[in-house]
Amino acid sequence: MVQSRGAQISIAVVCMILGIMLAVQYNTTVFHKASMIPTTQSIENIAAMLDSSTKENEALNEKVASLTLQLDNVRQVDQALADLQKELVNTQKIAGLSELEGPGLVITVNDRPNNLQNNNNPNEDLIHEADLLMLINELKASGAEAITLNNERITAMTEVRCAGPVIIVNQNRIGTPFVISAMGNPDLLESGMNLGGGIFRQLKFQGFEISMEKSELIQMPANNQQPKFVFGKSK
Amino acid sequence: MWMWLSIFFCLLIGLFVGLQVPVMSFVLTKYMSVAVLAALDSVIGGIRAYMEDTFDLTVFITGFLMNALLAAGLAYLGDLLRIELYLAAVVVFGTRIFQNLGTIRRFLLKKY
Repeated sequence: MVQSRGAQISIAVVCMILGIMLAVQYNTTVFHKASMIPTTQSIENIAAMLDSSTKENEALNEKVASLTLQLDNVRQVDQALADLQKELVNTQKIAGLSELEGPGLVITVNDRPNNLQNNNNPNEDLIHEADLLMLINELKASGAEAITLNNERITAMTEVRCAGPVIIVNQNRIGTPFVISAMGNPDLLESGMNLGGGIFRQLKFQGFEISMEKSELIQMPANNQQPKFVFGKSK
Repeated sequence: MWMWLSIFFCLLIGLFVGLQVPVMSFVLTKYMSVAVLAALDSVIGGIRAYMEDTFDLTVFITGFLMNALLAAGLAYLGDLLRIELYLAAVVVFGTRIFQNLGTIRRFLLKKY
């Protein structure tokens, strides 16, 4: 009986330990969830997932390649656009369609002071458009990059035309005093104008009020006369 | 009759206590499962021995402890050697549990 009681107690105690172990094991298994314990099914699922992920990866890689190509193309187009922009700016400069600033030479010329006692032809006391054209021509020859006449930009198609008491430039009337600004190397321009027999010297000799001044900074407006092409077609 | 009640009651207490114990590491669950199987085998073997009046307390306790530890150790050794040795414990203990249950069933059938 004593033996039997001891056996009963020991079996009961071992049963209790077994219960604890069972509960802990169950708890742990539930806690870590079925997903973490690899079973055949979950392995198959994971394999399928890996398979689809690999395929997706490949597709994405192809996409990356095509997008890289596209990006390259876009970059090239951007480069072309930047080149065009540069060219446009340069062309606008050449055509006188953009404002400029820089060093240069400023020539101021005015009519001869009236000397009525001489009984001269008053026409000879005036500065004519031909004089201005010659001055402008001389400045161009001396290396001027851009020229304005009384703030009117001289472009390839600018007219300098006599219209009675005034002169028409870019279809605008201007009068005395005439101020010709030329952008370029001031020293070169000055020496070009000082050449013997040049128009500057001639006008000075004839007694016209003419002077020139080197300038560090000249502001030049853009030519606001937009050239229109009706007959000329680009080839 | 009292024995069955005490076994059932103690098992319930054990389960209740075990549910309060914090969760252990996932790595250990494999060894724990084999140890649980060994403990189950020992308990059922003990019940059978008790019914056959051949119960020996020392054999029972040492068997319980050694079987559980050996089974867990075997599983660990298997992991080290990359052999699924815990399957051996599962098969052996499983077979013995079924045999012992069968013996208990026959004994109960004879008795009642």
